[in-house]
Amino acid sequence: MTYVLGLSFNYHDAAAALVHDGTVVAAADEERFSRNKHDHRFPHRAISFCLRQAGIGSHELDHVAFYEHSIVKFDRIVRSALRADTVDRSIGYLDNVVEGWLHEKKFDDRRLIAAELGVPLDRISAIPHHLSHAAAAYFASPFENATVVTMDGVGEYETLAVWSGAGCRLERLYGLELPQSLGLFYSAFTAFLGFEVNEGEYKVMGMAGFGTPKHVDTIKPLIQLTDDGLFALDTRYFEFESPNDLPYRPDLLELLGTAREPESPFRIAKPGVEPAAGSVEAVSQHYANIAASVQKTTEEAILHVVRHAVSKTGIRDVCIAGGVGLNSLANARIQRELGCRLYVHPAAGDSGGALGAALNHYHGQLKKPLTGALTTPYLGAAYDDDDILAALKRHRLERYFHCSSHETLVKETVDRLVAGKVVGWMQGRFEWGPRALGNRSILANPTLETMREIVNVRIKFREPFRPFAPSVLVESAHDYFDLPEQIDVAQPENFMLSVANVRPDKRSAIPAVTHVDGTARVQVVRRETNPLYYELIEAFGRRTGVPVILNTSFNMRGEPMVDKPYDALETFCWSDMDCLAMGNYFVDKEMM
Amino acid sequence: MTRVLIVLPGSELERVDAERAIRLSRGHFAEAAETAIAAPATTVGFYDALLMEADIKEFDAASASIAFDVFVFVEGYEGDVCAPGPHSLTLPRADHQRTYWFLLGARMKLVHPAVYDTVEYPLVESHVFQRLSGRKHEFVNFPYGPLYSDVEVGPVNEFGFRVPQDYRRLAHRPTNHKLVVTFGGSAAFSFYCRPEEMFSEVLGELLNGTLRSRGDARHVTTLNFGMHDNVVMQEMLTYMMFVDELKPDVVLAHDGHNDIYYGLQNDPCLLNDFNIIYQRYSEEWSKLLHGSAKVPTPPMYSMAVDGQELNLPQNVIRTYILRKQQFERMVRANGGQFVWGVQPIHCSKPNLSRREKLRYRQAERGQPHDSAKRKFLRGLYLTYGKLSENLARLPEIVLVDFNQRFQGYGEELELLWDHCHTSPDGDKLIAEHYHDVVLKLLDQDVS
Repeated sequence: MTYVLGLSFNYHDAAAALVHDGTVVAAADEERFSRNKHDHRFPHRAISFCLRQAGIGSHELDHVAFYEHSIVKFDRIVRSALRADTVDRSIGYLDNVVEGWLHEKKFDDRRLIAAELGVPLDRISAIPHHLSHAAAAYFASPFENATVVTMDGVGEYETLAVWSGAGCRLERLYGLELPQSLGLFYSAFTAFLGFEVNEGEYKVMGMAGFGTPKHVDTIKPLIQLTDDGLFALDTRYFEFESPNDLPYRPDLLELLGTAREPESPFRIAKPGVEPAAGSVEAVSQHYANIAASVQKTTEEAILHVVRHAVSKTGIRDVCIAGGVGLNSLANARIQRELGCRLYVHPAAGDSGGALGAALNHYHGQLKKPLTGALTTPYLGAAYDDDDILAALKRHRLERYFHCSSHETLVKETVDRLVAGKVVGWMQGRFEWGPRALGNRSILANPTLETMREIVNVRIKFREPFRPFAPSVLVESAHDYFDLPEQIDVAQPENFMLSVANVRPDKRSAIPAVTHVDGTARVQVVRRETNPLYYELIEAFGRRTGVPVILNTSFNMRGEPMVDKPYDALETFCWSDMDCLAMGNYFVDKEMM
Repeated sequence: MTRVLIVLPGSELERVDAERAIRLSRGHFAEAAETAIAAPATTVGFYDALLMEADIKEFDAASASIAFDVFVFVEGYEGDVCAPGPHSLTLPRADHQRTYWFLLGARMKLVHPAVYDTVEYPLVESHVFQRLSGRKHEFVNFPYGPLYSDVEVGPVNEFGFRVPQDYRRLAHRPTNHKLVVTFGGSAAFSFYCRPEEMFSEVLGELLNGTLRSRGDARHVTTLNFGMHDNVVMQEMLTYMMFVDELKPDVVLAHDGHNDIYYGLQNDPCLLNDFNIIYQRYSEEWSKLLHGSAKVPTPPMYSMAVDGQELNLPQNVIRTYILRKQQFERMVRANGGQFVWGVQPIHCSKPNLSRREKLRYRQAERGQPHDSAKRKFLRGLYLTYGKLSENLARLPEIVLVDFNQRFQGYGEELELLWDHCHTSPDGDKLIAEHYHDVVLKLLDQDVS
């Protein structure tokens, strides 16, 4: 009986994950509990949840593994900031960093963990950031041999690493260090396009769908792909080492023109209509074209890295982690164009490092045999009907009803979806990673085109151009989407981490989930992974002939996804959502 | 003879602000025969050119301290940052000398002496709770709700209201003398307005002007019983304590922000089960009195903390409406008519003017911008929007919803001074809207 707790915190997306004899017992981001988006602080609440889920106290932990070497990271920050060519503008940045590190006691994570958890220091370890990512991807994958690629903004120094995984062994082959960073390259353009770094990268992907990559020839030279399977950024355009304000330099503005104003309107002219110069439509099209060009350039770079890594290891089973792994368009191309079997860790970003650290200790350090793929993302907290009823009463929701069976719950929900209502769906344990996969989801009818705008504007209060994902029964997935012939239980499509073309003949059947470029970020749903969600889609399919549901995360803009019944009630009441299905309780605003 | 020196700031104010500061400072010390204007060496040239008709001298602390009795330092901004006030200025202050910090808007903040004396607030000794107070512009504890002795924008009575001391004589007014009384929080107090700029005062002038122009024998007095922080429950208490005996013809409850702001944060049991909304800082008094500081509550004056469950909008709105209906019944039972005013807040005017945006940024500067605050503000604005929707569905209320009415005003109008208070122009516009509604009620009364 070995319990290993993995932790990530101090930068963004703090998380805790608990592994028991190689099996993941629980894993959760701190933000779900603290309600503080991208919470980076010590994950007290997530740890408590993990221990509660296992029914153990912290004294029963055999080991605690932290996801990076903080002191090495600090060394990189200081060295970068004091570089001769940047020192003048870096001093203020460095001041802030040092103050923050002192204030938050970031210098000795092991001692902090020991003090917070009461675990002896000799049972606490820290491992390199990219090893955490690599372990999260590889040890949770279905593969016994794999090429592992980790790509993110930056860890300690490293921004990319290629590994070979074999049994319990992960061997680092080669990598890249700051300022050569594909993650930060993408983030620089995220900022240029008026979105928040570490938050708005999805929006760039969404915006790219509206554009044509007209600026590829301008952007591509900024990232030269090299013969060694890596790349070299033209650092004149980027500011990654002491980013006081923006991650790009004025040269980028000279190259591409004015950056997009945050929150500026985005509207695309109808097909065939030439927008007037200077109009919102023309300006939006310009930035969409830049987004498309950045996306295409990034995809080419990722393919280049993965292609070379595969040729180096000779293994076509590929594992990916690190924030770049959330680029679902690139993931699709890896499968399609390189013909690789792919596993992307569902929490590919820094929170996933918590689970990676724990798995690395169990398999990599203790040399315990592999325990099989992580096929379920449902590793978070669950609430029973008593918890839900207590929340309904505490907040004086008087008009609700209790469904006596899953069949009734499914029928009531399908009735509303068919009628064009938007339903908040909170069931079972919440998901690990940034995607809502049917347990903390907002659901709508994908056959109604108006649903996209209704859900974006009235429910989630976000930009009207953001696309929505479809959840589809695995058996029907190929009828609607161009997907790899075989979709096994651990492929990215199970975790909504890959984009597929909607079959041309089906685009008009599911307009609300077909992006403007004819693609969709698909989630295939299996009965064995999520029986209730499967039944719901199945029943919706029986009623409408379309076994697909629009699925978006259960949150409002800028908020973490909901955790507990109160969070769901709050989102339900503050938005124009029509209905809420929590456990077996059902609330319909028409009854209120 | 009081000699007053107005000292413009070391940063460059816009002309409208500089002129207002000078005009209001002069007005505040109307009895002074001698008023001079100065500016530091860094800006004296700028102000000299900006205010051509004013004689602006370079400020020299040593000579000024001999020549003047009162110093009014005008607030300055450097970008969005408020320049430091004169609190630490080392003027050789004689006992008789006074120093003020004129905060842009209309507020004359006393700096020296450090606490109110009877010159500043003649009624500071008037009753025990004033005598026990901190004698500053701040909260005064009182058994029936908070009072503020806020004399920075003009005189107030023993209880902090902007009403004349002899208002009780209005209980015996003739029938053609109509009384309109306004209630609410600091927005109804008219936080950034001098007495003559308050919407209640302007409303009185407008009504009397209309009645005079019609040859109507009636005339109107308006009284402002707005008080900072008040929620509807306290408006009712104020009505019972001070206004009931006057039998006002029209009561105008101009509120909304405080009930929603506090209602979102209040104890769910008190709100949901008993329809009680209270100032959240009241919880702090319990901690002090009972030593119960270890009972977890959010920090004083913070809007929200991580993971705090805000009350749901429909519960806050229901409580607000129930209490306001209760207030209306009380007024109607006493023979008055009741107007449901909803004050405008930041989200009521989507098209803010340049200066409204600037001041909002200035007010926000230095405030925490964490996710809890963002979430709270979003909740506040969403709930406010839903409040308007709910009120519009109420039959037979006389509703003047400035959350709705301000939506249509464009960026050419400067109506808000901060997130929930109006500028003098905003107050004037509010008075114009109320004028039409109140006049109709008064005319109905005649018919």
